[in-house]
Amino acid sequence: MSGAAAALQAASSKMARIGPLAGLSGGYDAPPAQAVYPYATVEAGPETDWGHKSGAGSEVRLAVTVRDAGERPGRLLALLEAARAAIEAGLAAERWQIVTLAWQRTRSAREGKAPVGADTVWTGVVEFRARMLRSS
Amino acid sequence: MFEGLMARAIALGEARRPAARARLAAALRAEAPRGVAVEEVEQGVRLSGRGLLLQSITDPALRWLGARAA
Repeated sequence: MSGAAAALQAASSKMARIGPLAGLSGGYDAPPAQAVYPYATVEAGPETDWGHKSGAGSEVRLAVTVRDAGERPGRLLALLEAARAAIEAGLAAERWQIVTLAWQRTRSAREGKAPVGADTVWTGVVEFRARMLRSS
Repeated sequence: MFEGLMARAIALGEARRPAARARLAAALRAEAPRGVAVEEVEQGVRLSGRGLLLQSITDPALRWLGARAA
């Protein structure tokens, strides 16, 4: 992961904005081995060149994944919407200027059929495209 | 006023569509995880596979597939 992706992931993973979301047990920068539902994972995806002749720039994809357990996905959908609002409210990446941060899509699904007596696990993702310039 | 120009642009785009679709399909096939089928259809390129929606959320290799191939 390069500087731009790492800076963006760090800014998001701090969960300064996502962490306080009601009911979220925590935020991670990789899928945790063990965590209490609901929790969020922030991942920076592929990065492409967005520089210009006198400066370095990167286009980075960002995904916030939320997993939750329950009979219905209502809380998951609310958390996805809250995560989107929190990210869109503004991120500050160290040594990089975020020029645009565009929401791409939100999707959710049930993770298979739950065993008898167990809660159904739901997962969803909010995806963004960030365009960033390296600060001088 | 620009009907002729527009018609020519549409014709050029239509002529190039099959090649663009084939390029996209080839790029997706090269990167698609095992179990994901890529096929060219009239509207574009179709991905199919068991549990594809869930996999596209949880598996980064599939989540970013379109972004890398575009």
